[in-house]
Amino acid sequence: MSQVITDRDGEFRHFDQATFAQVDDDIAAPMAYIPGRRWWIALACSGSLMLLGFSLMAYTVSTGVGVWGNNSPVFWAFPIVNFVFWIGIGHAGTLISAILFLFRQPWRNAIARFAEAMTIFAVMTAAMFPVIHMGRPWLAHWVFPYPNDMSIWVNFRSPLVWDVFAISTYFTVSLLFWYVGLIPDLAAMRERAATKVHRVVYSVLSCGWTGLNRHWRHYERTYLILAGLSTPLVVSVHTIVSFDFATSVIPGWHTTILPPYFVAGAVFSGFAMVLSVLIVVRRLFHLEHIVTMRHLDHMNKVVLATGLMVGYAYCIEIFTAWYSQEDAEIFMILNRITGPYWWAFVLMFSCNVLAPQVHWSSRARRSIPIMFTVSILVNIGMWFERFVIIVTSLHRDYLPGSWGMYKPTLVDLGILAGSFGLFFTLVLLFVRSLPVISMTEIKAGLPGAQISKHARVPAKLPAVEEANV
Amino acid sequence: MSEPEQERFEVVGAIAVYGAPDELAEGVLKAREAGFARLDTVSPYPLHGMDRLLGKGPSRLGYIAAAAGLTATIVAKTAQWWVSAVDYPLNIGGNPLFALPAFVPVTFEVMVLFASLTTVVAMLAVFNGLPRYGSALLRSSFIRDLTCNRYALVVDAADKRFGVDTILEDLSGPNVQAVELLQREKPSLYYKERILSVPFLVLIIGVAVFSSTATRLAFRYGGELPLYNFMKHQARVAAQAPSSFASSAGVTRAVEGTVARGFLPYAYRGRPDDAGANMVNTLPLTAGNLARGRDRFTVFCQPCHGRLADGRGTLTAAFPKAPTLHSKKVREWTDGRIYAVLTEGQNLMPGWEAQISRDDRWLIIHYLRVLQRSQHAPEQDLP
Repeated sequence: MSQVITDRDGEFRHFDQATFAQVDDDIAAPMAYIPGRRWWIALACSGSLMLLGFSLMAYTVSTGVGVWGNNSPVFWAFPIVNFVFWIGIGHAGTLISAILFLFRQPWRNAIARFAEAMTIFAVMTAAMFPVIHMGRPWLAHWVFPYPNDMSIWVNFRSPLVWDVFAISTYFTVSLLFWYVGLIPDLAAMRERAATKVHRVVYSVLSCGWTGLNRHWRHYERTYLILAGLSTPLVVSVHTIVSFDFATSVIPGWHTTILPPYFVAGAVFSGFAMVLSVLIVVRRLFHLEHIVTMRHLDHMNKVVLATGLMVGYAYCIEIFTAWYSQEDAEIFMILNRITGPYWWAFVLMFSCNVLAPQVHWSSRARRSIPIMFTVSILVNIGMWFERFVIIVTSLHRDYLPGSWGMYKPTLVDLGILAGSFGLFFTLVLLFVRSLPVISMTEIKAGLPGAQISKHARVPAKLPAVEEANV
Repeated sequence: MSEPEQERFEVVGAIAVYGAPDELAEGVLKAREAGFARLDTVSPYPLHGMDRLLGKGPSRLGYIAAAAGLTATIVAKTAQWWVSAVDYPLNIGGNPLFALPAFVPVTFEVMVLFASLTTVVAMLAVFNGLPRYGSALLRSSFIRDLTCNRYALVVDAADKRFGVDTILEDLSGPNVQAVELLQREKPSLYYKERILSVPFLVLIIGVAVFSSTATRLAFRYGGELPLYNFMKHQARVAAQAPSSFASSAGVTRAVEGTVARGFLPYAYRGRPDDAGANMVNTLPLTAGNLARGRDRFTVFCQPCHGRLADGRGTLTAAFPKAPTLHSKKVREWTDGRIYAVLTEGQNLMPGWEAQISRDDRWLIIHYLRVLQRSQHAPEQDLP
């Protein structure tokens, strides 16, 4: 279908105006026709899961959180496991769009938009969990400091309040970053619109963008500032999530390694999720020449690197427990590895630390089946990591008299499935309504797309004034 | 273009379309050398180096972002101090109310949020004047190409060198793929014809009238729809408030002759001899019952009547002496007669109906019989 000349890796080699048009055509193709049967089947599956999740949430809210398995001593069970899991998924998007942008990694252009969208959807999914975990979600606004007739304020020294600020800021800034990146593409989509409805929608969303150099000047600076602000933001968000645990006195939570450990784990799981979904999307929409093997190779390297960091954190936790010679710590780590939830630990360790080791081989990094399997395993492993941290630390703490076992109910499992349904429904709607790859950034990065001859500008020319058309 | 069409539109500029960034760069320099000053370029993506060709410095948005971030930092810190240390001081384990390190996360998040929002809004609205849907470029026949794979030089009609008749020729060149005049609807006509038109105004006023009427009616007839069930908002009547249910008050009086479930009222009030003749102690004589009777006796009777019911109680100083219960009269009384005294009182002793339950009174009588027998044991009781 593509007449573009590409090399062995699928990279562009020859460029002209037709190439530019081809890039736009290829990226806009999924929006140009009525989706096929496969898309509808996928939407039906994820939509049903989503509805299942929503109905079970309605059941929970109308009945009470007693329908979950949460009970003394494990009060933070599935809802918080899922919350931390989904928030972590989001981190890859910001890392790709902001940190790799600041490091001038042009390969990020092909995956940034998609990863950012996944950030937004993951944060939306994650944010549901603390809200339903409150038990009275209609009072969720009480977590914000606002003047009220009860004359009370939130406690700003509590990590749970920090969390509220971190998550809401993260969502808003991610959305802004994503939208700012979308504006020029929305303008291109406006000009390609087939129907009047499309044209009006894209037109409104693109704010009447025309691509004047004056606009680009401020636009690029905005993008740089947003990247600069998002980089510490993304690190702060999972750090603050880890503070929810680290500031407590529960053995297994009360450790200073938690913030970096959580951030590395978040990037790790996020990259795995981006890989899992992107591998499917690039194949379904024939975008192999834009999201090339080189991109996937780079992403697998990040998976390997962050997997090693996570593995280091697991090992140092065990070491610290021994080195501290603190009875409670030693018991916690032994209980985690050999206690009743030993299988969760084994699953976590093998999926997160052992599985990514295949990526030392470049053949594995460039093999779609292998990388897909590894990415799925990492997703599973990272979910279990949160399960291990939360459940094994809580179920046996200082007082043996209050020990207990946690078992999720069907409602718990249904809501977890529903969260995947919501996430994938949003992804499916996204791939059909907005360009999944930034046309602007891809075109700007093609060789020959920039000014090559840097002529000297004579000094005596009159100053250029604003052209107001 | 027909005559009225021409009156509707005005020329606001012109564009020259190029096929490659290098050709555009050349065109920009040529135009500047030719004396054009109100210039800009259009490209599908940012062209690096174009700012230099146009003699423009970097964007000043960074100052806006820095100012916004600084403002937010100060506001967030101050607000947290005021809330935590002044307006709502919560003592948590004796920790300081103004805890600077604990305020860092929220301060940072608020700074990022405010700086990002301000930067984006400033970029769009202040620096770029967006959203703007009336740009003449959007009406250009090349706008689609300009968002895809072509580049253009734009000259404003306000430029001193700009002439409607000459501009197209001025902009032409070997690399120029096309030249075009940019036209825009005259703003005066636009507002007069579109916004001040009768149908539009009628629509706006209609929507306003309809929505306010509908809201008013919904509140008037829709009833009160509480969003949340707060404990303080309950469907109840205060105890002494008038009630439509009963003629008196929120709490109604019991119907005349109502008795508590399981309790018949005492039938021999003021007639102790009838009580003695008709009432029988039906509670069985068991060790448990006697123990209970002894317990109640000790609490209620022993202070005045004494441990053995012989009238030698402990409350003797300020109290008139209570009689012994071993007198022949009391020993010969039936259980019912003693019950009447216990219930209604006698001489200085008040009635114990309110303090001692019905069954406990009967058990006290059982125990009293034991005491009486202990002090007046018949011959055969002796071992």
